[in-house]
Amino acid sequence: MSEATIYERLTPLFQDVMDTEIVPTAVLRASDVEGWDSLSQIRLVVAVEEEFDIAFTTAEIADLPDLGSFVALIAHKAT
Amino acid sequence: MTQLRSFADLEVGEVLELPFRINREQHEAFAALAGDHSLVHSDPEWAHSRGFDDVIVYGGVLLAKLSHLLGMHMPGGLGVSARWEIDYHAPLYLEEAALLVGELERKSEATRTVKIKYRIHAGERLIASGVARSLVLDDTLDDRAP
Repeated sequence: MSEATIYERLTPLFQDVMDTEIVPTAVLRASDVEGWDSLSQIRLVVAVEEEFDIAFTTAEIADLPDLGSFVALIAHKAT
Repeated sequence: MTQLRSFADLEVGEVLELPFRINREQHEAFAALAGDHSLVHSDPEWAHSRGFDDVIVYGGVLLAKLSHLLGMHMPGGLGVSARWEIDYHAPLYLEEAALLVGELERKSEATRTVKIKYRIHAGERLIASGVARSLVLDDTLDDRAP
């Protein structure tokens, strides 16, 4: 699955979970989005797991530096 | 007593059934707590005039029963609710036998959350349905946001 397709499907999930109109980009970090805390992070991961029918491990999502890394992980899992 | 179940102990597909019946004392206690005295819950004549058999049980009371299922059994005493959704399909009346059925639909290892699908029936009538998601805090939560 291309990253472009992932961003297309991720954007409404991200905006719903974070209650924002920000369009997610690769360089986006939690500190860039008001309300992106550990609980909204959990809701985002769960929403992504259900949307893409994939499962992450705790280690995989523990140290993601930015959204681009998360999208790359989704691309790896969703292939 | 609440069940203290670890995330690993919880199994996808497990089902729990909780029969219950709401009496007038519970109904009135919730009315006082909520401060909701809307006619459909408090005035039998008005309820009859709008096609109901009697005053109907508060939706919040049904959620209280969901709270019991989540907090005591599935996921149990180590759970913390993160999301509840409910759709109401039909009224439940006082003293009517009802059954809450919860099914653990999905586990997320990465977030240590469980998704529980539930339905409330009164006989053949579907009263309400929805999903709930709970964190299972059997370990320390890290700050995982990037």
